[in-house]
Amino acid sequence: MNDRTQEILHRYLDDQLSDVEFDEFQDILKEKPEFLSEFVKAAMLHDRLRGHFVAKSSLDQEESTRRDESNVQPKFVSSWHRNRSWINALIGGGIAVIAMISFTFWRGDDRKALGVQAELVRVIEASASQAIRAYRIDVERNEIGAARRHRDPNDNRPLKPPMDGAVLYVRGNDEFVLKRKTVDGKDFVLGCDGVQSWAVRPDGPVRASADLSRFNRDVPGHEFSMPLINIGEALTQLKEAFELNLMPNEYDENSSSDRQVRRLLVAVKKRGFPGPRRVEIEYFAESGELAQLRFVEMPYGPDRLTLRMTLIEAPSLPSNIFSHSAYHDTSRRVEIE
Amino acid sequence: MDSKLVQATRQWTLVQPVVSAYVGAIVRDFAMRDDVLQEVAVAVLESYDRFDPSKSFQSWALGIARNQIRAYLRDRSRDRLTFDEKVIANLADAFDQEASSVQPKLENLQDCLAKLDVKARQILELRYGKDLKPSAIASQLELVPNTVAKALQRIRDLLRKCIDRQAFGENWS
Repeated sequence: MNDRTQEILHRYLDDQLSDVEFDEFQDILKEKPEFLSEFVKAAMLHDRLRGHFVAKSSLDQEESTRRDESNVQPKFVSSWHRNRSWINALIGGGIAVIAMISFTFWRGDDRKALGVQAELVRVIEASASQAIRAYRIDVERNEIGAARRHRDPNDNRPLKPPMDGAVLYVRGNDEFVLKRKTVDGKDFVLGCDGVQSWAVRPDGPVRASADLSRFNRDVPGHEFSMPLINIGEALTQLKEAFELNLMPNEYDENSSSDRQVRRLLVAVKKRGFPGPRRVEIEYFAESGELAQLRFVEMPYGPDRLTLRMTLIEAPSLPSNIFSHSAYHDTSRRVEIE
Repeated sequence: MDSKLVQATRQWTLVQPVVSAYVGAIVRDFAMRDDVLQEVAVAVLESYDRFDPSKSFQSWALGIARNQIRAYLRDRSRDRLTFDEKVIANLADAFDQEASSVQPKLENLQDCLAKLDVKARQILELRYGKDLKPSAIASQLELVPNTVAKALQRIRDLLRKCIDRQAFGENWS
């Protein structure tokens, strides 16, 4: 459906068409069966919105009436309530769902599936770029697991610094820095320069290791080979354990620069596989570069996080950004593990 | 209520959202849509004895809706912006075919509405709750009518995409 037909459909729903436009609209409905389908979808949403807001308005009105009438004697019943017939009850908005109708997704033919896989590969390849990229991590939801709710008061191990508000810098698939703040507001930094992984806590020695995944245990996604710090590896896991779907193009209307077309890949976990329930990959259509990654209900120890990684502008960075030396003074002891 | 009426009521309740959307697709005025829908409900329940249970109740109800719409449009023959008979019939078929895949997705609407910003919800409230058209909404919000029209289109598109995304997630988790 092109922009013109989209526009004309919405103007029809809002009763905005001229005579000429209405004739055009009717002609499209007669000549294009696929447009009929789109019209049905739009009309059903349009009708459901009407039902939702009418029901909301009725509830607000009834609540207001109840509050006003609560101290009035004798009890007053509005004529609207008295005269309400059972037929009106059927027609009124807010019909309860009787049953969920299960439906089968159209899985698409082989060509479509290959196309979706190809897009994922493009995004994975773009993530291996040698340009430094920065992402802000926001935790939308954190379902705290029972094990943490009932934490042993004698357990003196420090809690993990929160992921909310963390910033991740990456270059290729081997170099990263993950900066977080502890609950005291102090910096807690993990990183890897491709040769050595390391952790710089607010106090104590700097820890470093030739094992590049030594400190990944602290990072969401580690348990099922989808660590946030290695985007390429995380995305590669989607090929096997997830169903991939490519959503239509959309423009970034909020972009302050030129309007870049973005695409959205939605990966839904197959039954029996570990990992987040869903992964949403928003990327720039032309370059394949990641704009945003969203993990829905990702297991993180005893918790389940829904978190978002958003591409942000990287400020000018020091040349040794991926080395632990950029995050402590020379007097700090470095322990090799 | 006797058992036949109970059964008719139950079946009508299931298909009512589809029939309502079909009527609303042709009768654009919300108040008029409610009137026509009420006539359809009465006709469905009064003629339930003539329904053949081996056939689709939804198709049958949409057929009754088509007749009621025809009667409504006949009474308003001066209104030029009405679909011709062929389109009305094609729409009934299209709603019959598409509804079963669209309707479950709409259960996510409430979640998706919660994600809209305040301004968007305000515009929807005025359009759907207060039954105002874009020019009236524009007066209230001190905007240009075309801006409101575009905003409504954008908001509906956002909701459609959100509903589709939610549906993909629910089907496989």
